[in-house]
Parts: sequence; structure tokens; C-alpha cells
Amino acid sequence: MLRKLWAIAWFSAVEVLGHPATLLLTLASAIGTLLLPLFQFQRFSEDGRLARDCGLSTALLFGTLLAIGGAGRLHRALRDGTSAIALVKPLSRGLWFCGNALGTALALGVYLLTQGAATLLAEAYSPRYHAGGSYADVGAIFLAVGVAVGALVLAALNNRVRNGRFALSGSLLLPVALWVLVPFAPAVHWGDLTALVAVAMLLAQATALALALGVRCPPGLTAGVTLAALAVTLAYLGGAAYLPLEPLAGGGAVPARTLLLLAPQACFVTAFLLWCSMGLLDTKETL
Amino acid sequence: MSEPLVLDGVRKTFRDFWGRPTVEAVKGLSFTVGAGEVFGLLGPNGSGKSTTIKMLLGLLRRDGGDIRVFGEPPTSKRAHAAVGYLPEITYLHPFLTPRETLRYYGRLFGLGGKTLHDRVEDLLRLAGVDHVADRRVGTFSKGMTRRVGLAQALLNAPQLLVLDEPTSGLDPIGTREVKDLILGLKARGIAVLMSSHLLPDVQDCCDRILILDRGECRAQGRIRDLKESLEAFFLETVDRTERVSPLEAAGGLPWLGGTQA
Repeated sequence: MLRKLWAIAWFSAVEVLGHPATLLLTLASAIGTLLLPLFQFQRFSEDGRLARDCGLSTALLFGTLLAIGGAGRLHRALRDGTSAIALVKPLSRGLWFCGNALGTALALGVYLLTQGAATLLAEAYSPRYHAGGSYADVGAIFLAVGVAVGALVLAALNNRVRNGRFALSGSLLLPVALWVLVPFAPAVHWGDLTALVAVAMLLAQATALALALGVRCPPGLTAGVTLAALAVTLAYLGGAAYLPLEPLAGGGAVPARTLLLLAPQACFVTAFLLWCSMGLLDTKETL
Repeated sequence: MSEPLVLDGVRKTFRDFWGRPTVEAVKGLSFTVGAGEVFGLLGPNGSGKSTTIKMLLGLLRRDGGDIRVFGEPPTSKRAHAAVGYLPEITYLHPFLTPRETLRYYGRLFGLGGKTLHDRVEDLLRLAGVDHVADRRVGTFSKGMTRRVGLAQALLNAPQLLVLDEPTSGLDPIGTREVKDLILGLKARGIAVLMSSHLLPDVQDCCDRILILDRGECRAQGRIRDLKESLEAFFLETVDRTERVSPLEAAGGLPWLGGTQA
């Protein structure tokens, strides 16, 4: 059963990561974050704060868009009949669905790795006071952007020489390329990664909601409801706890206690939504 | 040993969102398919063939009657493990190559290692797509996609093969190869259920046929017992209307035609 689950998950992750829209979203997110320090025209209370806050917020928003894309993929498979060929194999609908959900989660994980690296680098290269004034490390920023472009060039070479999938290679090479730079960046704020964990927990819930809706609803409705639910959660239902920007001030990190308190809620809500999805799929009349 | 496929009084009515019946797609259908037999399911468009096939595969719930696949309910994993299915429209993932497609579906059957590798290579050769095994399916013609679809239906060495329009989209050589394949599988004791509009193909391959019309069985029996051609028998069985040209039936359509000399 695990082998089948992994086969479906791997295939789903490859399909999501290999979609050109995924690469475009990831590129826009990462390069936009990296270039942010160049356009910072006022100093905030702390060096690098704008890049950090924007990077983490972008991770949440673009991650949600990717999750919606994954749900749209699931909906299309059920609508077009691609799922039928898989579902007449000896596996349950629940296993098939869980494999798809796991695959979407894997793809999101890859995206978060990319955006996490971009956030750390953007914060490290943000304007800081030096002897001559406040300025961003322009050379390092362009190097980071160049490294990202280099990853795409490698992906293109892979496509040219080995007929590899450009979008898939690009999506996988981008995080590798950016993380290679992170250890060499000055004053990396590793505490950001604790915030990224919290964002990932909120994304897991948004993904589960999108997938649940995707079983029955068209992509437009799924997108609208998921984004609306995310907005309402952040504004009124305590979702702000998952975007802990204040603890990061002055080089801090999200306390482990906070993450341990958020984790059970995130796990419960995610599991509940996935369980609802499997019920919706089981009762779906036609495949 | 149970019969590969038994349908007994199967019914299906489609309903709208409010639960009101809209279409009675299948009305008390009964037939069996034995081992080593090729059974043809025929009928005009909308007669209930695809609905019947989806019910026996567990993709659609029936409203009444019983379906047994090797003695098991159609949704059981044991039934699925023994069945191969080629849908009418072969929706394969366009970003995968034929080799990757077969490997993926092979893993869903629990196959792996050398067994899976050998079987995939054998089926690529059988389907005649070994020379394009590493090209994306999205770049294929309909006929080539169909060949890959047929290959995936054979991955698990099925004891019951369900083929929905198996020769649709194939060139004459491909059609002959598929018919030869069906007859070869029959000789090995594999049961085949095929649905087709192409009556010559049905006449060449099938032992028994069932003609479905508006969800009901109109005729069922052995091909060799027919006193006339299958086409004549089919038209006689389902065509109740007086033969009128469609143009006349639609009021002549005077605007439709070539320029007068």
C-alpha cells in the first residue's frame, strides 16, 4: 500500500512541479523577494525587516495559489476521466486521494524551500548602515538573481541534451541554487525558518481545504473560497498566530512553544479536511 | 471457478442535484461473459453501453441488480486486480512518456523491479510504440495514444479485459493488430468484453453479442447463429423509424448545397 501511495504522490508532485505555471509562480515569488531590497526607499525599525516580512507573506500567498493549482489538477483528473484509469486499479479512492494530497504537499515543500532561501538572502542583502551610509548589497543581489537564472539555464540544457522536462528541472534546481548561496550570505537570520514552519502549517490547512473543494467544485469556486477562508482566518479566527512576524524582531525566532501549540491544531484541521475530502470522493457518483 | 463477469438485473437511473430521476440509463440488464470468450456490447449512441461498463468497473454505482467480477463485487481490489480496462477516450497524462505511463500504472498494480521493467518493455513492443517510448504522450496522435492505452490495460495480465471502442482512431494496420491481439488473448483463456460501433470488427472478433437500446437488451446470442449480416441484424433490431434522409427530416435546408452551374 505504501508503495502505491508513494507512486501516486511522486507522480502528482512531478505533475504539479512540472507545470509551467508552478515555475512561473516560483520564479516571480523568489526573484521578486530577492529584488525587494533594491526598491526599499525608507528604513524600517530594523534592517531587513521589509524583505523578511514580505518574503514570508509571499510564501503564504503564492503557496496558497500553488495549492489551488494542485486542487485544480485534481478536479480536472476527476472531470476528464484521467482518474478513471487509475481508479480501476486495485487501490481505494481514499489511497488515490491521499497520494494526490501528499504529492501536492511535496510540491509545496519544494516551493517553500525556494522561497525560504530567497527570504533569507533578501534579508541578508537588505540596506544596512555602513560607514558611507545605508545601502543594499547590490552585487550580492544580482549574483543571487544570476544564480536563479543559472538554474534555469541548467534546466534548459537538461531539456536540450537529455530531453528532460524544463519546468520540472527548473522547479527542482532553483532551491538548490539559492541554498548554495545562503551559507555565504552575511548575517543570515536563521530564525526566519521557524516562521516558515508556522507558515507551512497554515498552508497545509489551506491546501487541505482547496483539495476538499477541488473534489466537487470547479477551479474558480475553489480558488475564491480558499482565498476567502484564508483571509477570514487571518483577520478574525486567530490565523495571525501562523504569521508570527513580531518574535522575529532583532534577530529573534518563533519560540518552540508557539510552534508546539500550533502544530496539533494544524494537524487536526488538515486531517479533518482531508477526511471530508475522502468522503466527498467516495460519494461522488461518476468518475 | 466463478465466471469472469455476471450481470443480473442491473439498473441505473441518473438523477439531478435534487434527486429527481432524469435518465433511466440501464433497465434490468443481464448477461454473463465466460473465460476465453469475446463478448460484444453493441448499441446506438446513448443506449447505455458506457454506463454498463462503468458500473461493472465500480466507477459508477448501480441502483439495482447484481454485478460479480470473478465472484467479487466490482469495487473490490481482487476484482480490479484481475481486470484490464481501455476507456473509450484514452485520457493519459500528456507530460509522461509511454514508458513512464506504463511504469506508473504498473506500480499501482503493485508491480516493481525486473518484473515491471520486462513487462513494460514487452508491452511497448506489443503496442508498437517502442520507437517512441521516451516521447511525451501529449505529442502523440489519437491512434498512438490508443495503443499506449491498450498497453496499460494489459499490464496486470488481466483475466477479464474490458475494451470500450478498442479500434477507435487506429489505422487499418493497427485495427488488424488489435483484432489479432483480441483473438490471441481469447485463445489463452482470457475473457474479453468489447463495446464497439464498428460492426465488421465485432463480427470478426466476438463469439456472442448483446444489442442494447435505451438501456434494455434487444437481442442476445451467438454471432454464428445469425442468418444475416450483423449490420442488417443490428439495424433491424434498433432502427424503428421509417428510413428518411436527415436533410428531408430537417426541412430540406435549402441554404446547404453547392453552387448551381
